[in-house]
Amino acid sequence: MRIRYLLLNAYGTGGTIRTVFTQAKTMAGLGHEVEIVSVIRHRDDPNFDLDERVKLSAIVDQRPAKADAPRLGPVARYRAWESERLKKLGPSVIPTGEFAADAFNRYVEREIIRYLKGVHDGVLVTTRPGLNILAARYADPQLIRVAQEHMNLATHRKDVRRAIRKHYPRFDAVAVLTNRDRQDYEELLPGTRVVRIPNAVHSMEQEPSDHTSKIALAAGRLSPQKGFDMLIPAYKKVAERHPDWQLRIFGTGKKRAELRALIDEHHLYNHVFLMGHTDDMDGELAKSSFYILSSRFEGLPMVVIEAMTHALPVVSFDCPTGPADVITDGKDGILVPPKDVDALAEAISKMMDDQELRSSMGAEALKTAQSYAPEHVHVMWEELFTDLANNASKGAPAKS
Amino acid sequence: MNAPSTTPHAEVAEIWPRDGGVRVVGDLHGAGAEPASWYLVAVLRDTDTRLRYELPLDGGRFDVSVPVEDFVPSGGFPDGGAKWDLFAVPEDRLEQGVEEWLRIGRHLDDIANKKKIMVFPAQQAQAEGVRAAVQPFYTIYNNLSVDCVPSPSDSSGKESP
Repeated sequence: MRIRYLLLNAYGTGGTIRTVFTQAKTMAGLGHEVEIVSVIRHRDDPNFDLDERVKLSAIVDQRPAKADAPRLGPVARYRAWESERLKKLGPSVIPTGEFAADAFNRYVEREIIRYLKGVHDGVLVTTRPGLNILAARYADPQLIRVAQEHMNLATHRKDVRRAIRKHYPRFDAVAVLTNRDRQDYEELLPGTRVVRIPNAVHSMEQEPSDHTSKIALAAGRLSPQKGFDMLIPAYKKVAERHPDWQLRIFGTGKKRAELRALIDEHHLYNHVFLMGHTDDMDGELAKSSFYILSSRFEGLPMVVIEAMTHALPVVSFDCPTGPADVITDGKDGILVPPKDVDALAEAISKMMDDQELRSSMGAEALKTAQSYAPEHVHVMWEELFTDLANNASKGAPAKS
Repeated sequence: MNAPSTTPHAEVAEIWPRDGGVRVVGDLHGAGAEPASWYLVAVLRDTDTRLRYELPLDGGRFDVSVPVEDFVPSGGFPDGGAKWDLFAVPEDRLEQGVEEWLRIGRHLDDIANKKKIMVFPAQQAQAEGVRAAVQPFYTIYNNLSVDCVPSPSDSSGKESP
């Protein structure tokens, strides 16, 4: 079977890219012909390792032109001028509420549509609302088309949800990450096949935490979504009770200076550290004693499940969606009402108070993580694609 | 440069740059108990200028605070601002060179590069007729220094939080 994954930017960082690379690797390992198509490319190599059997290509190359590039002829110059003009226009198909709408200017949109119209076989997997909407409208209906939702329906803005309701019924399947999101999609798209397939952790063979260090860990892009601006004030109350503990926040992003100022404002510079990027998240997780998720919203927060593979219990806001799907309150972690800073502080303190609690919840967390093992999850994709190919007798050569 | 834990050194536990002072709390490791009195000495880098403060010890723990005004150099600012390196010095070695003193730093944890991770706010100081920003920082060798740079003349005198 030929499987194509369409990503907005395979050269960036983030959970979606990492997840798709892992899926592609598994599918290639099962003997499928797998290609990842990146809409834009701004650097030479991707940030994550990609299996050598997986082909990687790009639709719009945004790398600076080489100095020795040949001079353009008049037609090429006209085309370049036209492209530049289109780049200044917003998208015409993709709703402006798409969180990545900035990346989809008129030129990028046109190039994606051209690409989609040229693909006529196998499975096409698209990975975010903008790409899903374009694939639903412009890709060959003979393809097996699968839309992936890496966030959740409730998080999307109104215009995006409207476009989802209108266009997603053309997909052979819509794949979501959590049970709660599956219910939401089934309600919005009656008659459309909605499947819940969680993302897989990258390994179950991890060094477990011994829960003795006085380190709490959080990680994610330093952006409003991750809610570190709520975690820091929560930690103010924690530091007074547990001055010997520290909170390490891993990640980079635009909010760094603001978070730094917040740390200074609360005089937490001896207790809360913005660690930046690490190449060894597994090592950092193993060194800490529990994990904290302070997000406003998520799809399925993989870093929480990765933390659980290190036997770390999790303190988390019960935000949409993911934490409640993964964490059982009081068993493998503590769930507190979303955006409730006082409750978050209370739960963090409770975890710090009790090493026995961390150990017993950590053991449960390790059990919970099992259901996200690669071998468990990837079977679900293989079954879905095979089933779609057999039922639709399109895309892959039909069985007679 | 990381001091092996067997050689004596002064390990920082907490730094509190607030309320008009730079307060440093830490522990003297492996320094023995012989000399009765210890001092905090700040050396203005590349000069003979020294500031000296008593370093009260409780067990091995020291806790000392330097008013921010003291870091404004009386002889004017070197290019790039004044950088003070902090040492712990027993009384009987005060007359010896810096190579005999204990450089104050933070070496006994797993965070390799503190310069960018353990970052502290600046405070405004006014002395010698100038306004300056005083900010403790870790060097690339994870030793503790204090930076003092003149503030732009149009800035307000408000203390940073």
